[in-house]
Amino acid sequence: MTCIQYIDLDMSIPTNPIVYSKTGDTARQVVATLYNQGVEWDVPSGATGVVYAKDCAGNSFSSSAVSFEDNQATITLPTFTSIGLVPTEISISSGGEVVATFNFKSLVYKSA
Amino acid sequence: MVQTNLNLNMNNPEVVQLHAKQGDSGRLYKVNIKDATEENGTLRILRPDGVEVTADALKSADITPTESTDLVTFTALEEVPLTKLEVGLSSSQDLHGQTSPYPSGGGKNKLGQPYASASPKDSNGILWTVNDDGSITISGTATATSIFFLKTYAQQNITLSSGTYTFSVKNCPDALNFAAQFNDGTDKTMNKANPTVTFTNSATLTDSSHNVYLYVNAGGAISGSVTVYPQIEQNSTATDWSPYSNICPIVPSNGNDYAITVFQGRNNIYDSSGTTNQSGTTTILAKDSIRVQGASTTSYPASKQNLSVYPLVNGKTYLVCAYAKIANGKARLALRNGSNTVVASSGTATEESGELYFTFTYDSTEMANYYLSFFGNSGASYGDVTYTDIKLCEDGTTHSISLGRSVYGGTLDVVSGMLTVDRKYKRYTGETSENWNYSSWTSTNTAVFYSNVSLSDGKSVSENYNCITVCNQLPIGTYTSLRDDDTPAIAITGGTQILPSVRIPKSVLSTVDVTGFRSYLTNNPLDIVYELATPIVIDLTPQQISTLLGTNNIFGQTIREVAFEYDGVLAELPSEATEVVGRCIGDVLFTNVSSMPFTLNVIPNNQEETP
Repeated sequence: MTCIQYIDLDMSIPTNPIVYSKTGDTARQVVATLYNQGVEWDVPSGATGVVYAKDCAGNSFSSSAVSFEDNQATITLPTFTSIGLVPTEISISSGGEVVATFNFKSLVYKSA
Repeated sequence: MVQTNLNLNMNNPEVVQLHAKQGDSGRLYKVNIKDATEENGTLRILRPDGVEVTADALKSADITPTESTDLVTFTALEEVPLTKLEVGLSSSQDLHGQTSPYPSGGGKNKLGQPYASASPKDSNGILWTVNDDGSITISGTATATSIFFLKTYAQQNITLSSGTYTFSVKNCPDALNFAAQFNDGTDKTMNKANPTVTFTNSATLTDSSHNVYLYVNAGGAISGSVTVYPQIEQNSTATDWSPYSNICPIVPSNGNDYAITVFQGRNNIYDSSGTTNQSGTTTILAKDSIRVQGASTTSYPASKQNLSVYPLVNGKTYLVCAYAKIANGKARLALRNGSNTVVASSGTATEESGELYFTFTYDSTEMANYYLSFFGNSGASYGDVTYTDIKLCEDGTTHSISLGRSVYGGTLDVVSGMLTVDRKYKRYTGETSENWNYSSWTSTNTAVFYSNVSLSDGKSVSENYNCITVCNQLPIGTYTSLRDDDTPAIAITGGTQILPSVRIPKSVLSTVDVTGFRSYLTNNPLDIVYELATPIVIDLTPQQISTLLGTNNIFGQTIREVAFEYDGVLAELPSEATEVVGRCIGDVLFTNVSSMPFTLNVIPNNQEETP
């Protein structure tokens, strides 16, 4: 099964929304609606994305399960092994250029 | 990939904060730069590690004037703001109007220097320092009340006519208060929470209880040093501060004794490239300048440039104008058809002329093979004419604006902001320094006097030429007419010197001598306007145009709107700028001046570090 959360991200202005996850979960999805200075921002056609996250201890997590449609990015959160607030971003590549979203926070709870 | 819009300002620092992620390479910034006056600038980034990302790595800003306008509006028979025309003249006390009273009574900000308190003033722990622009920098903590007087009755250094005024202090810190005690019955005390106050009635300081001052109460602390900007302006609304200096001493017109010519139009699209000889020799000197010379005494030199090189729009009217300097022959601008017949042209100039111009309405079906022609000669043989400041402007029209007893005059291109001042005002009141002398040309009914003080900046004269163009009392004569005709007039005498001379009826003089004439001038000041030998060119910026809106009014005669706005694209953020995490400082560099800064926060990415 999958579980979907929704957030808004602005490509020019950091907004720091929070999503929630559990350690070991592999199918938590986030649909991010993208804006640029308040205006809907369409991802360039053909762009690819990777989700990167890094906890305060320096442990990195990533997920390549990213798809784009117009101004929406649908991602699967990385499988976290540590708990707490983990800064997370979507790195978007197109035509040799790279732009990352500003961070959103993944609040990861310990699985039972 | 991601374009971020931001607004910068050339003059006023504002908080502009941008963000990027470490490693970003696809961010594009579009910058709107208020008060920029150049079309090209370069984005600069100074990283937190001290590395300046070089300009070579950046795309140059492409900042172009917009066509739409809203800052300066000339409306039929209504007062319109023209702004501070004297910019660039302030180094000359004479031109700046340092006489008393100030010719126009001040500009937008009536609160001019000198202030009553000396600067710097160290008073009870507070240091007050007056800056050149009239702002005041304050620092320290007050051990007792510390006062800085701007204006006092005792020094008689402010007098405002009846009306409504607003006193404001921009950038007022918490601890600073300011007060005005004009004679409208109530003292006004202000501070940061209430930073403006409006007066009505007369705002003149009439007794020792009337002062305008800033003060910090005992215990008040100024954090660091703060620069404040005091201003007293007309009307009941505080507007953005502007300096007292750089005020245009131009007064509203009530007559037709003086005029300034305004060329209206949109962006100048003229480019001399591709101009060829129709006959004679054409030399392209610059983008807006060509020289046309005759090859022999039998040729009729003229240049030729096809209209097809320009993106003219069917049905639009265009203005063609230029300044012609004639070394020989005559000058004329023209539009010729495919058969070389002149279909539109300016007048013919035979001596150095301010402007030549004509207009035409473009019809693409007929005029595709028409061409602009710049004559070096319009009928006589042999010529040598240099055309400068050539303009081809869409929908251009010319309007005269009457300025009455203006101190300066000239031509203002309201599109480019270029003001050419070529005339100057002077008043004679019989002062000793005017050095009036009695002339032997005095006759039975009229007496002749001449001032032995040369108008040294005036245009040189000949016997039949008079650089005086306007006089409030006497007809304009020439050297010979003043000498030979027994009628009142004013003219120039003196050979190499430029000495104003007047012939005046003896009947108006109490005594027919210098004393009597000076007495007459004291009671009947003689005002003249004369041409300057070397015009003063002033490049008004949008800031200067907009600063004094609502002051220094003139009367316009058109309904077109004209103004400046600079905006544009800018630059792709170079990848070097996001290599280091932290706060960068950025700005846009123009020639010798840069915009106020913005900050760029580069936020760490979350990728795994590369070993």
